[in-house]
Amino acid sequence: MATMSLVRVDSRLIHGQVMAKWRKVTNADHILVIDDDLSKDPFMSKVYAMAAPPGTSVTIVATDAAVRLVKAGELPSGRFIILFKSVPVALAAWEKGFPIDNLQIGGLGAGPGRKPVFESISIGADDVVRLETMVKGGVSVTFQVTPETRSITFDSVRSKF
Amino acid sequence: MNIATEHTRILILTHGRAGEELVCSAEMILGPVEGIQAISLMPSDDVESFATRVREALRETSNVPTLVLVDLFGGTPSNCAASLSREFGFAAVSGVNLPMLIEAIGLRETATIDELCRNLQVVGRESIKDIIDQLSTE
Repeated sequence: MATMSLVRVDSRLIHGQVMAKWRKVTNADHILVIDDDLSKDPFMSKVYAMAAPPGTSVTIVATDAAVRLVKAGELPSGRFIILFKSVPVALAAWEKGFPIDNLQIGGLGAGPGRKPVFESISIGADDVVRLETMVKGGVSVTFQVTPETRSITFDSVRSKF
Repeated sequence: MNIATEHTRILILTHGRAGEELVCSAEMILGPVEGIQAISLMPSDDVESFATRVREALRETSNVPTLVLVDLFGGTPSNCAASLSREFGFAAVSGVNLPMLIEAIGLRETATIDELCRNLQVVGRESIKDIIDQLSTE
């Protein structure tokens, strides 16, 4: 059966070295990217598939398709890294029934209305509200960039807003 | 037209300022060089703002052959180059090191961009040697 070894939000999705490290610690053999836009863009899908650590299969699907695959038990057996480009995408998938026990915020860049909260991660107040919804629904949310660096809890980030 | 502007332009994309410093290192050896730009992805950058800066640089050089050199294959600068290859025509090689950059600067006046691209992949690989081992075999 499929095991979700890591469920992560990272705007860069698959980027070589960081993904290689997470693959190593999770021993994952599949990367599942859940993104509506990307699932319709074969060219960019190829760019990300090319960037994946060797030996990892990459599947890029729309949110609805991901929910369907999980509910039907149709994900191939093995260990999965699940990737979302942003908090809204992760929230949407979770609300539609994609199971998330632990959500790692791993990489979100700066931008208007966003502030740096931990190492290179920046989030906005709107993301805090979205994460709060997930936390109340039983999702454990942590912030961590790489396996070697420390992780912090959602509570310590929320207190900055 | 000024001949120099027809030379292949070199655009270096790296994690942090490695690319900018690589240009400084090359200039230490070759003297001042033109037609090279380094764009650094900094920890505070988001992917889009980095891509915007790269896009602007590519737009400026869209009338001349452009060689993009990136550090890590599959890293964000590399993915950014891959994605922008849909909008612009350029050659791109990963694994940039000082020997590759010096070779690119020296060759770009005479080599086509395809030749340059092939050559840099060879030079990059051949520049890596076990020095102590070389000493004992020669």
